[in-house]
Amino acid sequence: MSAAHATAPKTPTAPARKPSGFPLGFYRYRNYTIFAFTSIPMAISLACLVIGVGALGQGEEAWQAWLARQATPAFRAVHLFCLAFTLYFAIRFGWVGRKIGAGRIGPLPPPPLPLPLLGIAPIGGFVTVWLVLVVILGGWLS
Amino acid sequence: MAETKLVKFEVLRFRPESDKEPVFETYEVPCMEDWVVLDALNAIKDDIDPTLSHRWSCRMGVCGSCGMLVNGRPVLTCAAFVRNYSGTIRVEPLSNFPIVRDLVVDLESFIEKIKSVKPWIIRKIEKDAADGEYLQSPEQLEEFKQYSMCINCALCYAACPVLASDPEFVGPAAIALAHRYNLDSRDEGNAERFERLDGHDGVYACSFANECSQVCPKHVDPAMAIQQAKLNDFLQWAKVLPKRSFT
Amino acid sequence: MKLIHKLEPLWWILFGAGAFVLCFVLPALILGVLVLGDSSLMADGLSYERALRLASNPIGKLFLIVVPTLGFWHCAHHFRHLMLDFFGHAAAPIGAYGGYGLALLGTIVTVSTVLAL
Repeated sequence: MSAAHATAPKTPTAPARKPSGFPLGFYRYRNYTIFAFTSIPMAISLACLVIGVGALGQGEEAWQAWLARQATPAFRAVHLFCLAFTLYFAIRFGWVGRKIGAGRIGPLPPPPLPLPLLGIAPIGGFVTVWLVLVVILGGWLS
Repeated sequence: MAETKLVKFEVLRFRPESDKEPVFETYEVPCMEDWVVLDALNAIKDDIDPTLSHRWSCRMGVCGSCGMLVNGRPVLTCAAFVRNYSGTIRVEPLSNFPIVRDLVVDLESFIEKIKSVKPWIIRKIEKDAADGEYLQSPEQLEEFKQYSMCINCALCYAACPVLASDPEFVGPAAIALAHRYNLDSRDEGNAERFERLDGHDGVYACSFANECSQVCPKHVDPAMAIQQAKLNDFLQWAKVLPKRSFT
Repeated sequence: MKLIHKLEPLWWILFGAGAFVLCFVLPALILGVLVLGDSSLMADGLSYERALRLASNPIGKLFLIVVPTLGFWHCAHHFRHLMLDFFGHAAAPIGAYGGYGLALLGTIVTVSTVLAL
């Protein structure tokens, strides 16, 4: 940079403009915002589950009452709402998360798999574990 | 005489000597079938309004000068074909940067951020020329080659939603470039770059919107570099990995 | 640098680890327990005796501590970024201290609830 350039007076600038369509106006920014929003329904579900564990610790009556309360229309609507967002989160995280492990991490070289496969494999893994977990919860094997 | 079609362009203008804030001005430009948006801007400047200011150079997608928002999306205007748009085409300067004049933005912060990650080979001891070259296998080159393709066009900075609220975020191109050098087998400067990349304006300010990679014209995939940089940074911060060359 | 900024790598690894754990188990837990828990499908599996046996088992306890704890920290970090995206730096304290504060509360409640089983 020349001395003249460095000392030349700067004209006033107009303020920076935000990206167009952020946060909800453009479909990709919208998807990203929904992805961030999933933190709230997931936290609600986790809190419900912890409350359920508490009910389990209070005896059979409390446990059955808690299970019955989750089946009431209002609670069921909340849980289905949360389930929808959780599924969206899992699919999207499995897909975008493929980039985290796609390169060299310390001494470990990049995995020899193409990027799309690195994304589909975790989603497949998630679905498998979901099925296994539901079977365990249902006690259908024993 | 080749056929032309009249296309309406809505271009953001800002003249600091007379405008309090930017305004849109509309131009009707006779465009040829194979024109790109940059051709239309040059036609505006040549034939309609010589006061229009815009940056451009190579007009073939390698210099990174002509980045602007076209219909709200950051693109290289030399690669944005007019025929791919319908109706009025809106042209604005890159978002997330202060506007100097018309379509020209102040890239000072971008350049400072690039410099701040020390994008050069850092070695503890430089090899003497008489001792020969640094040897690097094709596999070693492959690990970072993609990240070396950046043309510093700053489209990723315009697309990044984090920069909209945190202008101090070091940004996608800088992190991708730092990661390129951290992965280079010849480099030993990981520790030198660590301080800039660590912390809340470094890699961890990124919230993985992936927009940077969506708009990158050279398929650098800075989002991927950032996520891997986060993991590597954590392993070094937790002292699981030493802060030096990886190889 | 503020402590909360010095610990950025920690928030991020909790976010990432929490994301993986939640991806693997939360949809099944919501479907199996919260949505279908009271149905005849789950009547045997989630009977009081079996549920208590599963939850009191050391592996069960570990599961019930790790999943909500990592989950809460994941949600807190993502919530922090959501606040920054919508409200910018004005919301930075709410997102960070509020989010991580709630996650800490959730952790304490989870651990004490599970250990009390």
